[in-house]
Amino acid sequence: MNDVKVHGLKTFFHTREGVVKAVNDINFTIPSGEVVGLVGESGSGKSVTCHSLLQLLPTPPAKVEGGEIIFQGEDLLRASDQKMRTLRGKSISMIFQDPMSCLNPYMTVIEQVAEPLLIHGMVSQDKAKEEAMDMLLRVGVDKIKDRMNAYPHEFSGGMRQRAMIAMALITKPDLLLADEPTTALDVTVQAKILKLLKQLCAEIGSSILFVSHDLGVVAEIADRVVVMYRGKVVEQNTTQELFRSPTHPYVKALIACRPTFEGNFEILPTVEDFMESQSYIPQKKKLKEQSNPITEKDKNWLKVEELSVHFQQANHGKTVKAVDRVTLSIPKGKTLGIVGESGSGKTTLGRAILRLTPITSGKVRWQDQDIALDKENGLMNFRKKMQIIFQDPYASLNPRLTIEQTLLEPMLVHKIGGNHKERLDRVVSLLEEVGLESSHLRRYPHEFSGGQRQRICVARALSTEPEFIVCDECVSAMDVSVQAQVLNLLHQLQKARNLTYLFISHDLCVVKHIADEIAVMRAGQIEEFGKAENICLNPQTSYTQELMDSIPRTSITGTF
Amino acid sequence: MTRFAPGGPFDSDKAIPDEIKIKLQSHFGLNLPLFDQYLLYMKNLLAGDLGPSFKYVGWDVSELISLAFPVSLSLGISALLIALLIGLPAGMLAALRKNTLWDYLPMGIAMVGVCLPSFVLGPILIMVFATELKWLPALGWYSWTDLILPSLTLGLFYAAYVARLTRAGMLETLKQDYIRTARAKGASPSRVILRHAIRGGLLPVVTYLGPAFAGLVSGSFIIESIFFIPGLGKFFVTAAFNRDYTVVLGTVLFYATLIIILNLFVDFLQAWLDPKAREQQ
Repeated sequence: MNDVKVHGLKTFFHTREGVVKAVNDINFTIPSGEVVGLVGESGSGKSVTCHSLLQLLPTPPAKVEGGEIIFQGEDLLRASDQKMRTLRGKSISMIFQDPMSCLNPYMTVIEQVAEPLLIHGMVSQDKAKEEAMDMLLRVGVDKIKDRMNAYPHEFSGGMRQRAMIAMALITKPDLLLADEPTTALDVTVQAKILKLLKQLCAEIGSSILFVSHDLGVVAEIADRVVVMYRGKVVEQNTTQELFRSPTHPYVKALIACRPTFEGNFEILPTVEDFMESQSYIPQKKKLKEQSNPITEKDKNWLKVEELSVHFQQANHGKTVKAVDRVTLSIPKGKTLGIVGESGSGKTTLGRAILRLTPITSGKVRWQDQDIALDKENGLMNFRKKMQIIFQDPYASLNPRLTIEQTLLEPMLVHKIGGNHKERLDRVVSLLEEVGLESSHLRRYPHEFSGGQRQRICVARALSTEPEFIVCDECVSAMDVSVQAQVLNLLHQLQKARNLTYLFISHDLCVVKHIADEIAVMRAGQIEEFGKAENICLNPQTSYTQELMDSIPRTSITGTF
Repeated sequence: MTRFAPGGPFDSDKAIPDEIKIKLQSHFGLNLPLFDQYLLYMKNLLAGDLGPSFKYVGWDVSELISLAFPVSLSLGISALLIALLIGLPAGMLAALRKNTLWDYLPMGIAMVGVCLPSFVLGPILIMVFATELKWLPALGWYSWTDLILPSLTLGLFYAAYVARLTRAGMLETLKQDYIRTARAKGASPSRVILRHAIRGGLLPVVTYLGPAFAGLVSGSFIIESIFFIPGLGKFFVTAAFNRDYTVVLGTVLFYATLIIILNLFVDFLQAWLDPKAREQQ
């Protein structure tokens, strides 16, 4: 009886460029007490659906054009503002993606957790604070007694998200809307939060609408899955059925293009493959072919010895050992994956190897030449051979430079190409190599999609003809379908140009897919180092084991 | 810098006999080398002595400042009150009724207010309220009614600026994710604004208030000239014209101290408003 029914919901955005049909006639039901996963890539309309339920969208430009959302016998889309306010936070709560920006930085955490109780006049001020403390304890915020006056910025990301959950559940809502609640978190934290969420909601008896881009996470928590694509629901079923026998090509593609832990594709299938031919079946191919043996010379092509990077913390004078006596080596033409959670020092390590961060002590040997001690001006030649691709292709391209300028600049710096014409030719061929066209040259970064931008970043890295590329979380911000394309591109380039990669990521599945060897980092040190297969199949340390266990896994094997 | 300007404190239209001039210069120590004069000045300064005025015979610089500053202070405070009383509500209104008449009207007026120089606004106000309507006195510094027109002239400019800052700050804050969170909790619009948005929204205004207040109380030469007010601004500019070195130097030092103190005060205020800034200190 208390099912939530979404029927024919249409939410459009009226922008200057025309009408964007963000959500276009969708139907689904959230059965009472169940968890429904709403899955889709960015722009598929999943968040808009979620916000439409609570009518939190900014109007204009957003406008609900039709349909109904039946909640406890009433149509939410026709409810008055007054009525909606009594429902929000009391009967329907919401958890947002980014717990930093979604908590008020000017109010203490306790105040914010208690606030829904006060808004809805459920208890007195003192009682509300007491209940907030109880709730925070239940969600696992430790030492809450000492943190009575703590503000959100004094909490870690995981703790903030716990506080957010406490805030949403304190009124014991009938329906919880969770919009990408674990996307910003480390896998180990994510696993704990998912468990907690499911357990608490079962206790309270809330239904959950769980919005995520990650099928793996949804498979972990949801009873039913609704898949959205371009504003439409393309498939919905019970989680078991959906993974066992997906019918829509897009859903098949989503399941297939994510590198899995058991992964066995050398080239990942992409959404295009599935959409173009209905009967596309990805080829099963062993990921690691037996490659030619590495010569002794190539084996220690890049060698890092006892590398340390320490930072002095500004206000406390405390030394942070971001990287602490790390030793590793990368053979030429191979990929070393570095896995670790946020703060483990993996990015600092990558930057230190490139001398983008001052090295405290240790050696970086590149073809038997110690580059850790080189003076800045002696680095020129080596900078040319070593490049980096950053995580965020939005922030790492200069918005005021055209693609042509962006790609020409490294060549000018390193005096590559005799004249402008020669360089331009190279730019065009680079663009083609990464799958873009020469007609893109005059455009600015904002005119491209995220995946295209990352391709531009790859082209920029390639423009100096490097031998070594550090990929710093370079696919982390991407949708799985785009991620598959970029991973395929990197793989293809490595083969064609005999490139060596240092691939940094928090995502063990992605690293396992692309890397030959893996180093697991924790608190600035290498926890475990070895062949990718060995690390994954037979982890030696408990930390690696924990990382492994935290990966949301589609335990139900698909049809392929 | 005034030392490099041609002329000296004792030059005037009427020629002073050289004898007297030399005597005067040695009396004030002006015959010493510049560096020695500097040392002497610094020594006296450490003892809290800003030195005597060259032009106003028998007056110390500190005495002059203590006479002129209260005038500028009362003018500044009333102008600030006007700026806040008009600027804050206008900015809030504009932010909350964005892109309606209630946004365009106050913001249009504020735009004019920022652009309109005080030497235009001042005479206009005098013309309307003193000459035509005869409600208020035009010039002078005798009773509290004399305060109204100059502080309006001074305050309206700052009101316009505060209104624009308030609007921008509030709009920026209302866009934040935590405002959406507050709405998702079922908070009413007034609670969203008063409990969640106002602190973040007013931070830019608070930051601006420090320098603004310093500027206000240190007096505005133009306004004090238009309305014939014996304030610090007028006093300072006159001293510069007269090559009254000690007075110029003393006033500059006084301004600088004032600005430092006010900025410090604003920093504390900010820390009180913003828990993150608190930690950085």
